[in-house]
Amino acid sequence: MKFPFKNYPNQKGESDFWPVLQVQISNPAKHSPPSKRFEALIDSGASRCIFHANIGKAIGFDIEKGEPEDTFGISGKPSPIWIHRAGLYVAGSIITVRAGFSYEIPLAAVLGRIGFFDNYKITFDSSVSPPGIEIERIARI
Amino acid sequence: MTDESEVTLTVGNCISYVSTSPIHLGGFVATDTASQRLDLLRSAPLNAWIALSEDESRIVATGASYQEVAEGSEKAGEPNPIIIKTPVRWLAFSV
Repeated sequence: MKFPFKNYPNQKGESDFWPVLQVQISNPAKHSPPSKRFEALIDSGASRCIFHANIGKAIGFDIEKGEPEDTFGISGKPSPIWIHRAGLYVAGSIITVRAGFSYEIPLAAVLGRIGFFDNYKITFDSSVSPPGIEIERIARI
Repeated sequence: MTDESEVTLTVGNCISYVSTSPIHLGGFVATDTASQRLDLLRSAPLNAWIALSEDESRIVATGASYQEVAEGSEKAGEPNPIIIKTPVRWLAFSV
C-alpha cells in the first residue's frame, strides 16, 4: 500500500513533508475498542513504537504499571516510558506490539523498529512527486 | 461526480488508487487540499490535541487531551476524526 507524506508547517512559515500514517491502537488486555485514528510518525531511528500516554490512558492502559524503561532522543536527555502490549491498527492490518507510552513525546506517536519495522517492509521515496511511503506486510510462517 | 470521492473516503490517504484530481491528494504538494491542511495546522492551538474532520478540511475539536478531542469530535458529529498532537512550536522534527 502506498501513502503520501503529509504536510506540516515549519518555523519559517513554509511546510515540511512528514512520513506519517493514520493508525489506531487498542488495549488487548481489556479487549478495548480501538482508539480514534491519529497520525503517527514513521521513524526508523526510533528503537520501538512510542505512543503518547494520553492516548493509552483513554483506552484503559494503566500506564505506570507497564515495564519502565528510559529512552532518549537527539537531545540526549533520558525520558521515561512504560512498555505495554498494544494492538496496532495500521495499513489495513492489526498487529500486537510491545510499545512504550510516554508523557513527554511531543507528538501523538512514533512507529519504530521493534514492532513496526520488523513487521513491515517500508520504502520511503522522496524522489517522486508526491513523495510517499510504500508499506508491505512481512509474511511470517 | 464519479465514484472517486467515495473511494477516497474509504481508503483514507492510500494512493494505490491513482487520481489526477487534486481533491484526492491530501498530503501532496501544490493542491488546494494540502494548503488547506497547512492553514488548518497553522491556525490550531500549539501544545494541544486537535481533531480534523475525516476529509481533513476542518478542525472539529481542540483540547488539552486526546480524550477531550475524541469526545469533542463525537459531539461535533464527526465520529471518524484524525487526531493530531500539535507541538509547542512548529519546528523541524528530530527524535
